[in-house]
Parts: sequence; structure tokens; C-alpha cells
Amino acid sequence: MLKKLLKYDFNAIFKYWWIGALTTFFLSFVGAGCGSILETEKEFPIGVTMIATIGMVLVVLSIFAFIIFAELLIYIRFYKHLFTDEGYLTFTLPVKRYQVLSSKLISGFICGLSTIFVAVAEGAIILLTTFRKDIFIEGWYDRLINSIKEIIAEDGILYLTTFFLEIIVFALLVITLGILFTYLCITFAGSISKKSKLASAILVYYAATSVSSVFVYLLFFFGMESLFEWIFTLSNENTQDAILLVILLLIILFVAMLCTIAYTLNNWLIDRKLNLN
Amino acid sequence: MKKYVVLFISVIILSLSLCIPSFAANKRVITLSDDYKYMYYDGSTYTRADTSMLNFTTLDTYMTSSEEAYASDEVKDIPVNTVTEFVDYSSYYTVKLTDTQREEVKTVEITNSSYDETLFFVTVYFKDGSELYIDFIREDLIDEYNKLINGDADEYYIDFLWPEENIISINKDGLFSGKETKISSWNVAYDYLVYADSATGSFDAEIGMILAVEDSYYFCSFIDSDIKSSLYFWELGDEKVKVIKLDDETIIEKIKLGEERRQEDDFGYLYNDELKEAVAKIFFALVFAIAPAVVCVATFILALKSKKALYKKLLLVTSGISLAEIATFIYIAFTLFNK
Repeated sequence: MLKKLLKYDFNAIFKYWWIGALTTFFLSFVGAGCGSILETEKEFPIGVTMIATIGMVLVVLSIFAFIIFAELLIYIRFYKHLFTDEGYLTFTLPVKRYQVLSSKLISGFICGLSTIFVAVAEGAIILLTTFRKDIFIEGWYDRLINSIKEIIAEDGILYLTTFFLEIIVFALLVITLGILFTYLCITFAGSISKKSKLASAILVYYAATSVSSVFVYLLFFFGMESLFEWIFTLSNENTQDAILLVILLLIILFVAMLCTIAYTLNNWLIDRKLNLN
Repeated sequence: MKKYVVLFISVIILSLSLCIPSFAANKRVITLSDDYKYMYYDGSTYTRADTSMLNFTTLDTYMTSSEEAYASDEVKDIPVNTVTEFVDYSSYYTVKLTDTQREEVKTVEITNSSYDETLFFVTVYFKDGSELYIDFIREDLIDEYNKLINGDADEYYIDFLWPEENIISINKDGLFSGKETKISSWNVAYDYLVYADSATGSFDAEIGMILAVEDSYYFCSFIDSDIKSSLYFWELGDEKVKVIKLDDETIIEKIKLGEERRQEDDFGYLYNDELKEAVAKIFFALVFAIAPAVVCVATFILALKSKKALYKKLLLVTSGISLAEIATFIYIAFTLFNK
């Protein structure tokens, strides 16, 4: 049944997502053209330069708008499917409640990841086209291949690979945590508020984000800076790399722990809210 | 569907309207003389200068270089086969070339400028692959500038780095009137740069350092010496440095006052290495040991009490992850502290 839920969730989200993705994808080529005009040594009339500047700004804003739009699709789907009239239907389906949440999480995660890929690709199209003269200089391909070969030939390739894998895992967990955190805010607001659930959800989200960002800033940026400095004074050159990897593993486990807590709490609130037990 | 499209377009238009003022900015046009000795901008003439001693606040540009070449009187005689990477974030200025310049110049970049546009750092990229770096200063300021780098300024001050406003104003006579002597450059600690300020306030020059040796203070001048800036000082090794021992009581009292202010400033004095280490240890223990331990115990107990299989599994998984985190913490703590 999870597969069927996923199918409907994907349809609901990607039905509109692909329009935004396609639009911004084409706009990125427009942005690349504008960037080329602005970056070229040739002098254009002031009107052309102005239009190119406006065009570039418009394109960049549209990419940001698409990212926000994609996020809204995920959360609107979650909210509508569980906390509006549609929710009554959802909870009468012959599926387990955790499957409903899991389906939302998986579809949201894939949508989020797809959005990041599309946005990065669009940014790359704009930058690579605008600065092609500086990037694609003579012999650029050989230099790129040689750099990759040098990296692979290095002694620390195992460390580098592990480091990058950890960074990827960390990034994926952070995306998951972000989605679960917002779901939790919506669920919490839905469970305590009888009317204006959407407004309550937004308020709870902003309150929670403000509090957590202070915590994250103080603890992680202030604390992490001191931590890394202290760790490097204690360790020697041979062990520094290994210790850095283990510290990253610690951070990954910490975020994973937060994800499972958020998922469990979310599930429990959904159960409690409907009081079906 | 329609409302999503409307929402999408509205966000773009709203964001765009907030950016409209930035479109109104005019590009600033710069021209250079054919011999690259002069620069013209906004009705003013700029002439070449060596700005190695200058200290100034600049627009936010970024540059890296491996070798540098400076302009001499004979423009084409400078060594030019340098490899330099410049990242020019500034589209603030545009350089208009003459027909003569277009034949030999590929492009000219304004790599840096002071906020009040009295100084410009220009790089000329020639078509033959060579590059020329020129520092330009506004012509009406050249006398003031020369006075400054020769130590004949209107105002001098010592900068104690922090707190930010911890700047002590001093008089020139007191600085240069002490007895000349030599001290080993390895025997000193310095924290204080001495600056000479221009009359217009457009720029100031690093003219020396205050060196503290035991209970005495010395002024190490960059003027008429091999030491051109604080950066050169650390390359001297164990050579003896010519300095002036300060005996002006007013200046010595002011230096001591500056040092006291540094120590009283909570951020500068308190957030030292010991505090950093303490913060690191607390952070390390709190986030990677105490918090997971609490979560591990709490979720384990809840898992035992829970009647539903799903929650039992979820809580046990959370407990397991916390346990893995504690184990990793123990491993790393053991590695770090067991040498």
C-alpha cells in the first residue's frame, strides 16, 4: 500500500513541480545569454545592458522562486492530505498511519533532492555560459583530467572519498531533518488548534525556526569552531584526518538521531490528534 | 493550477520590484593615458604611486597572485611574464580604451579601490600575454601622500587591534625623539602598529610598530629602513633591528592605557585559548555524549513501556543510534587523550 500512496503523492507534487522546473530550465538559458552580454568586452548600448541586467536578475529570482515553490508543494500536500477535509478520507484508507507519514517523507525528500539538482544545473548553465571564456580556455579538458588523476593518485584518496561520502550522507540527513521538522510543526499546530490550522502552522514553524536557529548558531558555529581548534591542537598530523572523519560521523549520528526523534514524534502526534486508538 | 502559476509569477514580480533601485546605478567610466602614467576618472587626474605602506578600507574585491610586477618610469621595462589570477567581483567601474590602447591591450581591470575613490589599483592585460599592475592616487593628494609616507603627517596613532575603538593618538616628536638603539627581532612581542593619518582622512600609512621588551617600549620605524611594513618584520630572522627607545612619558602612559583597555575588553581578553578549550569540551560532551545518553535511556525506557510494535521499533532504533554515537564519542575521546 505504501507504493500506492507514494504514487499519488508523487503525482500530486510533481504535477506542478515539473512546470516550474521546465520554466526555470529554459529561463536559465535566457540568463546565460544575459550574462554573456554583461560579461563580454564588446560595448553594447545602455538599453541593451539594462535589459540584460534585468533579465539576469529575473532569471536568478525565478530560480529562487522555483525552490520556494517546490518546498511549498511538499508542505501544502502534507497539510491538505492530513489536516483538511481530505484528511478524513486519508485516515480511512486501509493503510497504516506510519505509511502515510513515510509516503509524505519519501515524496518530499525526492522532490527536495530533485529541486536541488535542477537549481544547481540551472546555476551551472548560467555560470558556465557567462564565464565560458575564462573557464573553457585552451587545454581545459586535459587540465581537468590531469587534476582528477592527481587527486586519485594521492595518498589520501581513501580519506577524501570517505570525507565526501560523509558529507553527502550528512547533506541527505539534513534535507530529511528539514522536511520532518516542518512536518512536525504542521502536525503540532494541527493537533493544538481547532481553527486556522494553517496560520497556526506558520506561526509554530517560525517560532520553532527562530529558537532552533539560535541554538544551532550558538552551539554549532560557536561550539564547532572551538571544537575543531581544540581537536587539532590535541591531535598530531597523522591522526588529524582520521579524527576529522570520526567527528563527522558523530555529527551524522547526531542528525540521524534527531531525524528518528522527529519521525517518532510526528507519528505519535498524528495518532494522538485523531485519537483513533 | 492557475493559482500556482499566479503565485509563482507574483513571487518573481514582488522580488523584482525590491531590486529596481539597483538598476538605476550608472557605471563609472575610467580612462588611462597612452603611456599608463595617468588615469582619469570623474573629472580628476590620478597619478602613479607606490602604495606598499598604505592602509585603507576598500571595496569588497578579492585577488590572489603568485608574482607581482610594479610599474617603473619606463613602462615597458618592468618584468612582465608573471602569472596571476585575479577574481574581479567589481562591475562598479568600466575602463574606456583609446584606439592606440585597443591595439595592444586585451582588457583593463580595476581590481581594487578605496571607498572614497582616492586610490585605484589597476591591472592592464596586454594582448602579448604580459600584465601591468599600477597603483593610482588622485593627483591633488600626492603631496599629502608623500608627506605621509615620509613620516611628516598631521596625526599619528597607535592601533591596539581590539576593542575596535582602542586607538591612541600620539604626537610625532615623542615617537622620534627617543634614543636610537638596536634590539634582536626575535626578542620582542608586538601588537601595536603605528599609523600616520592624512589631512583629508582618505588614507593612512603604516609607518612603524611599537615593540614591547620587558618593561620598555620601542618604536620601530618603517621609514628609511629595510622594514617596509609589519609583514616584512617577521622575515628578519635573528637580525638586529634599529629602533628608538621611547622615553616620552605621555606616550608610554598612553600605551599602557591601550593595553589596559585590551585586557578589560571582555571579548578580547576573556575569549582566550583557555576559554575556547572549555567551550569546546562542554560542546563536545554535551552534544555528543550527554544528549545522546539522555536520549538513549529515555527512548529505551519508553520502548519497554510502549505497547505498540511500531513505537517500540522506532524508539529502539533511536536508542541504537544514540548508543552508536556514545560509542564513537568514547572512541574518539580515548584516541585524543590517550597518547
